[in-house]
Amino acid sequence: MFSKKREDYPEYERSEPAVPSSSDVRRRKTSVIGPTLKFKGELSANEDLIIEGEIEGTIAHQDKNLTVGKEGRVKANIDAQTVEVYGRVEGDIHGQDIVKLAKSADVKGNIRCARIVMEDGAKFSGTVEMSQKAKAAPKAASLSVAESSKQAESAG
Amino acid sequence: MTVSDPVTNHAPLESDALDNAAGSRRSLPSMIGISVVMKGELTVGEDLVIEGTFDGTITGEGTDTVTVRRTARVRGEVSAGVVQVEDGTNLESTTLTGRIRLAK
Repeated sequence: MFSKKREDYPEYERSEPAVPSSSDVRRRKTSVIGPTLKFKGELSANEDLIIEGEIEGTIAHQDKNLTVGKEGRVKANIDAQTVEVYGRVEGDIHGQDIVKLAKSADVKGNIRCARIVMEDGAKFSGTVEMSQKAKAAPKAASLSVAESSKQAESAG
Repeated sequence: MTVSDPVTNHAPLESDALDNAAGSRRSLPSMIGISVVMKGELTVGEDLVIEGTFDGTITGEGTDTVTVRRTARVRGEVSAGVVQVEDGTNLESTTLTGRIRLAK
């Protein structure tokens, strides 16, 4: 069970954090909410979105990737294909595929997703619900994630 | 040295890479893309490009430029140091305040 190698998980490989460069933004049709932007209201999008500013309200972001940058502060429920958090989120997160919390992340809310990755140092207060909708998610990875989630919760 | 997770045999998240990613993102221009729909109040202290739909109030601080592309649909108020509007833009019931520039 534990002897599988990295190559056995192509799905996991593909979900490694993407690092968009400035030149990629236009080509990839990525929207950017810059660090000085403050928005209060409803936001929906059907393209990749990077939030470095403040958002308060609702975010409906279907089938695409949403990144809350290190300077990003979000008070909203988030619904997206994949969600990467480097900053602060107050609200529930629904990742249709995967949710990733970096070490700088500070999340208060419940997470529902098929897979989750929490980096050591990430702050998280809430519950994690792992749905079965994972797209060929490897069992071993899912198990380890669930265990680490419990450890994170029990550690406070 | 990279230590793999003993259970998944995966390398852990590369923190430095993530930090660098966040750093590079910080310099990205603010862009409300063509598929984005926003309804509410927005304040901005940097240049902003709007290609999508915005309904509400945009308030720019200082001399920053808010550029409204022709793909955008803006309704409400846009106030900024410079408001640049592309020819053919759909500005429905919109009030523009600041130095207005029309661009082709």
